[in-house]
Amino acid sequence: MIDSPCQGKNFYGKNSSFLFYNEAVKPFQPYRLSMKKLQIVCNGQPQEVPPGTTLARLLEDLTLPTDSVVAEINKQIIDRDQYATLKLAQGDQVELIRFVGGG
Amino acid sequence: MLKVNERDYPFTEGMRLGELADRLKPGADILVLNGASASRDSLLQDGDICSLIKIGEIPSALDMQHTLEARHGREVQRRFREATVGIMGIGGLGSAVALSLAKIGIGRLILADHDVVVLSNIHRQHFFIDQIGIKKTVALKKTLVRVNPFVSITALDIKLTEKNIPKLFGDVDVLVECFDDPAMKAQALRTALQHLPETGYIGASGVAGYGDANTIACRKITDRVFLVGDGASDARDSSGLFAPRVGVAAHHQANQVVRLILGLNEDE
Repeated sequence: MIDSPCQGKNFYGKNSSFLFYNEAVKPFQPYRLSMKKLQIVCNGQPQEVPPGTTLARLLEDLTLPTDSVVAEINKQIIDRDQYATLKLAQGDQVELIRFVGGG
Repeated sequence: MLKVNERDYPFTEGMRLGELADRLKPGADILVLNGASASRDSLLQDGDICSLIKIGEIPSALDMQHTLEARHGREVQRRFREATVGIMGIGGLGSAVALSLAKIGIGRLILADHDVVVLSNIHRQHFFIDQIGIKKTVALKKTLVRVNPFVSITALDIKLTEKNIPKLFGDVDVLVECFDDPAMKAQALRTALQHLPETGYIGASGVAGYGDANTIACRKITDRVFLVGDGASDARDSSGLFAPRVGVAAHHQANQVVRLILGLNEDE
């Protein structure tokens, strides 16, 4: 099974002799592979994220306020203005330090 | 041997406190013998500890140094005296850190904050009712000078940003993050990790409420970067900030400053 928008539908209509879109169209194979989840390690815990997940999205999923987090990926500190665009890659080692208020 | 104003002085039989005062501090108002107020004709005994005090007199830098060396040890005090510590934010954490470091005779403190003292600060920050309305930098500097007039204090009335932190604190030995706002805490740590690779850094997160103070710890992030707090107690939650627990965290920070200055590795 793949998460294609066309999944389970006969792309050319009910009586078409074409096979289902997702089985017939070979060039989509790489796309299909790319949908496999990425394995990352976040604060020492193995975790899976969908491909294309940005750092901001990861923080959102973890319900962490982006402004209060210092992020390090593969020993590199990430600038705050890169959170929204930086996409996680297979095997990334992510370290997050979340701050709470008070002083 | 007697100890007079923290220095050794030879003991002679039959010597009285008043004579000692006339010789070493003429015009002394208060004579203290072994911790308690005593009269001029008190007979001294070998080993007595005497303080001869002129009310309002500021001790000399040398007297202050001798006193601190007697308490902390000469080599430790030398390292303190040669150290520069930056403190970002002088509220509940920062004012307590600054006071503690001035007391032990850290040579130079650089304080930065752009707030004014308001009534709601007094419950946990080291300011006084008569300082309400004064800039925190000005108010705290006055207090620190009263504690130790020989600390060099640079008080910056400035809003700290990712841009100015490396410039303002580029030559400090240890930088202490004492902000209230979590975004500024994160910003400061990011800046320190990226731009101040040689500087010791002690941040804070999770100091609110009145939960078990033993959950406040100093955690090592790298060899030179530490975070103090329980990591979770947020000031925005209902419990708010309390002087005792904020004070525990502040003094954890100050103690870690001492440890970094003395070159103590956490793994030892």
